[in-house]
Amino acid sequence: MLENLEVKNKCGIVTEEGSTGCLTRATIHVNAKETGNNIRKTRVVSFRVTNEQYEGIQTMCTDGFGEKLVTIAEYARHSTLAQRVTKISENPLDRYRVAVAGEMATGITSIVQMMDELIDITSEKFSIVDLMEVVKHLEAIQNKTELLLRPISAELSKEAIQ
Amino acid sequence: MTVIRISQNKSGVEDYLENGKKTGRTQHRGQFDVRVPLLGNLQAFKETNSYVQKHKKKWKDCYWHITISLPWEYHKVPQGILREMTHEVLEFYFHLYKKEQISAYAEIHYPKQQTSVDSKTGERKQRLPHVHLIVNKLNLWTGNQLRILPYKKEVARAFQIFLDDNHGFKTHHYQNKQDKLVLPSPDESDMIVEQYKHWHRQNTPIEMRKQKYAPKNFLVRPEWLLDSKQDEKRKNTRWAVSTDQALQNWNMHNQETNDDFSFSSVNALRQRLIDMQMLIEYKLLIEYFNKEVNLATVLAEAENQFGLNRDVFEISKFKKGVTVLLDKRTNHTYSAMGMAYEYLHMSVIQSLKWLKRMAPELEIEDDLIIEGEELGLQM
Repeated sequence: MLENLEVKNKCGIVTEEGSTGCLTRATIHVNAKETGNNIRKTRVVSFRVTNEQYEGIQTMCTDGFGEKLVTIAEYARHSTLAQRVTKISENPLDRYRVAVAGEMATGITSIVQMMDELIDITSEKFSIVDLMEVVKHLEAIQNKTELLLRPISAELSKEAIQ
Repeated sequence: MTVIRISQNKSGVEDYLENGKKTGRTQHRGQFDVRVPLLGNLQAFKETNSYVQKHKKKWKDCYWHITISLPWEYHKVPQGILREMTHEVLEFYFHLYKKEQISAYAEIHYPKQQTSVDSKTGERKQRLPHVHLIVNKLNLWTGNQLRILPYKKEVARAFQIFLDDNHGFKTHHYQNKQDKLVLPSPDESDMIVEQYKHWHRQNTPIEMRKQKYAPKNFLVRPEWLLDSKQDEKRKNTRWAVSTDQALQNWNMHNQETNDDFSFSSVNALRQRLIDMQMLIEYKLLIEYFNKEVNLATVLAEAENQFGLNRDVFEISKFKKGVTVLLDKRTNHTYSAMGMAYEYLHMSVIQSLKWLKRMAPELEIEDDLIIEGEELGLQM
């Protein structure tokens, strides 16, 4: 039952070509009948919006990269029931941090791979102590990368106050 | 014969790699495997994974878990080959992306415990070195889900043939003579793989409106400036308290999870360099051990401690009357040090200490074998 509802929600947005211009209808299923721990959604709320309004809602459901964060139905349901304008957003700073840390890890792996290959090819014609120095610097970069992943002050205040 | 298995899941792989937790297993990872990081950084992967779990709640799975293993006859294959294969596998399945867009981590598991009991047959089986490659589903640049190359039997087989040929392994597909007539040659396999990748590229919608993360998008956000309206002193105090608290939390988190040691490819390189230096420093001692330590004792100890199957080894005479251990399955020979360092995958220092314990009568001073840091190698 829940699966069906979810499918219906996803498909519940219909675009119509009408004689009065292009109108968009969002059909939303808002249900409040509780069955045990599950909430059964049995009532339907539908409303009409203009193309511009529809695009506006669509924008609110996506992040700055155009990725869909929630469905329009969910967005509308949440906005209506919460009685305030809902702002859906990922934490871009979080993603920036994991992205930078990931890229740095990839870069360090490439350097390590090159050094490994160098050792394989040149056999004993290198200084282990010199290579250890490079490793030391790589580890320093790696440690700094891990600092980047520490909780940031915004998160800290919450944690500390709690 | 490279065997590649792929599964996907939401969480738990970090715990599996670090602690070896799995249904029906009670031992800790440290008891049965030597871990060698090969690619990426485990901490960075963990953070990406927790990001996905927090912000992408609708995703059914958060990462792919790919295992790469080779048969016993290739158990001594150098780390460089395994690394190369791991990169090839990553490039094959995620050919649509640059490696900077992917959060991946890989490590080799060399068996410390040499045998395990098959739960179905009860038979004792030789454990094999294998690679765990984990790839998070998050595209680091766009925040969307990565698209893995879809599975197709013929292409998977062609890729396997290509991999085997590239590294000089026998392909098990060719062992079946009937199959040999219809199977593609390595060159044809390469072409099949490239054609399929081309098809995948053509049929994957271009990610419109997607761009590499743009720092400008979040570096100036109005809500971040809210604090400026508050009393400066109060704000600073709160910030100081919260920062201290957060650092404490972070340190505790690190202690609880994985101490002060982070797993990454740099650590593997450092260990390799330390071992190389140790082999030079202790050359004479190693020769002495190889000559004096009783190989029968080595075998017995390896069986007791690491579940080594003694029946597959025999002690045989080598050049100039030197005795060695012969692996009857592969015809590889091992000295006492070779058994500890190469076969049981101990570090040079661990090997020397292990051999020393086996021959107390050799009267080697306790402080003769010292750690790498005392030789000025570790930072």
